[in-house]
Amino acid sequence: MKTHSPFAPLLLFAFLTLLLLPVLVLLIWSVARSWPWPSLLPAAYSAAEWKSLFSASSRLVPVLLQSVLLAGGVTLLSLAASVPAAKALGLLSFPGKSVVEMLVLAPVIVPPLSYAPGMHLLFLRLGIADSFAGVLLAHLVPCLPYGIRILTNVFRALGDRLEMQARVLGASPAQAFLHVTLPLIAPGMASAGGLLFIVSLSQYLLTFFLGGGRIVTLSMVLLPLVKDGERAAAAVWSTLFIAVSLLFCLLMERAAKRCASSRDTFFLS
Amino acid sequence: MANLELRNISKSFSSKRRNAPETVLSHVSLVVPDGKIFCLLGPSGIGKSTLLKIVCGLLVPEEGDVLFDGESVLRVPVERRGAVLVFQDASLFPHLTVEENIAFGLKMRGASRGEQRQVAAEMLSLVEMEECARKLPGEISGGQKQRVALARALAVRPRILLLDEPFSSLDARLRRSMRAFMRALQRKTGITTLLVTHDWEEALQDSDILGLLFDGKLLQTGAPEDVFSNPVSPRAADFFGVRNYFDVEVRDGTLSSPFGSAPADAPDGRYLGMLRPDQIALLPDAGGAGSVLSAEYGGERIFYDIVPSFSANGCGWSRFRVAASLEGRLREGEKVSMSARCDTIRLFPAESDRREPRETESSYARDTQSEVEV
Repeated sequence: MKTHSPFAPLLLFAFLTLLLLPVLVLLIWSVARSWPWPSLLPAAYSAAEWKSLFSASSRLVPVLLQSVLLAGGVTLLSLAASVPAAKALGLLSFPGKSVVEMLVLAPVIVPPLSYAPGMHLLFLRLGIADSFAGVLLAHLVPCLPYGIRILTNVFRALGDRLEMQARVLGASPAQAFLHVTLPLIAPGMASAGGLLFIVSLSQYLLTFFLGGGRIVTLSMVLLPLVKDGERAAAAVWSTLFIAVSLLFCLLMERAAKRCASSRDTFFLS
Repeated sequence: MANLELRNISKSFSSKRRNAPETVLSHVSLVVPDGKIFCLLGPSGIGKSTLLKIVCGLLVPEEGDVLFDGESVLRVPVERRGAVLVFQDASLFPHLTVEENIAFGLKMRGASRGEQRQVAAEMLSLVEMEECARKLPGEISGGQKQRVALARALAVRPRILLLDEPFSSLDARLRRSMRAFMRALQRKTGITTLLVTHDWEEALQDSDILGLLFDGKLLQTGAPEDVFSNPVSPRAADFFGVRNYFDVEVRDGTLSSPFGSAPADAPDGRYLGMLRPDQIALLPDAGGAGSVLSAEYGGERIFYDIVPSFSANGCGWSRFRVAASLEGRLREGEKVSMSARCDTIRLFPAESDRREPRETESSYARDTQSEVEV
């Protein structure tokens, strides 16, 4: 951008405003006691919901803990499973590859409601229904497509030339992966990880069906509040939701940078 | 340091576009004596790179054997073979510094930090890149990248060095200096080297032994002078840009050609005669047998396309390419007479195939699919 057109900063400002305005509205709702239409600002304020959140009897700690552990676990497990799958899809060609690629995307197209009851039945038979492990497993279904898709493109862009080069220089397949491939896909994994966390955190139906009410995440608390019109409480928990997601994304970025030895992201010479 | 031998190597790939698998290498056998440079010359395509990948173990041949010092290495995995491949684009690890790149192989072997540092320093001075030790690959030029790639390969003291068109991505001047650098380095270290290229002038200059690879088959191997002066077939001669063919008849130990007669040690019959551009002399001659079609200025020489009034029966060659000095420059349309020493005419069987070397499909399309089978 050599010439500073007046549009560029204007566009940026508009964009940021569009992003941040809803969050601002959310924050105002969290301290609003009464905000009838058409007032631009609440008629009455109250910090009651926030106080209640941080009070001793609040569900904050167990809900937060379960949400973060669940979503975090799903993220790590999805990434671990996505890497070898993505490597195969991104670098190899084999018969039936396009079918596999389509099947990988299936969970995105098929709504969770259609497979949640069936899954619950299966989990009952396996004895993992209404358990943390069961919900974790269930969350992999909507998350894996994203993980695999993103990392497939990462591998496709990376190619296998560098890993081949590492091998001829004396690296075993494990060494080549650890020292060459992993640092180079780390930024891609961070992006995927951030998305996976949010997808898992947002799951309601699966947690509801397969958790049987024993697994209570942020979404599980949030939806009833919204349904019942508890605007302020919903706003408080939504803010928490956003804060947790943002924090996790930042942590993933930090971890990826360290893994890639804090060099520039995604360099292809 | 090792003697490299390839015996009867064959390899084919299944192509998605065709139903039949495509044969890329067909019964290729060659020997690279210890400490020598073998240059494999061939048109752009995948055969040459495939051969290198087979030697270092990234690909497995369908048939044949690879031997280092007389011992088969086919069962030895890539990382233990000791044959290092340097790719055309250097393939430096972008997340490591120059120094770390060079020390990589040693690190994989478990060498101590001290040893890594020491060898890296040695290699850096060998390739004259000491000031760039801490730089990242993104911060150095193409020529520098190639030097680092060479240093990285030599740091692990490989038994065989494999170079895949290592300098073809560099500009002409840099390419010349890098080639001289590589030759000097190879002489100094004495590493057995197999180099692959599509540039015949480079192949003639850089090799101890030259091999011609066409259509998956090794047409001819030998010392560069031998291969150049005595190509085994018109297709082999084609590698060096030779396309001057004409009818020759041999009777009773004498050949007769449009250029005259000479004693010939060949059985009676019809032959295809060949002369190189530098073997034909031109003189302006109003009654001459040829006329100048075009002139190509080449700096030190001029290449003329001459249309002869005679033509080899049925071969369709209507032009002769002649190299001449800058003196007495000829003009387009000028009539010339062509003369040559008839004892330098190379004879080939009359039915020899003189088609243009077939350009195989772009190697880029193949490179995007992994060919590694490890």
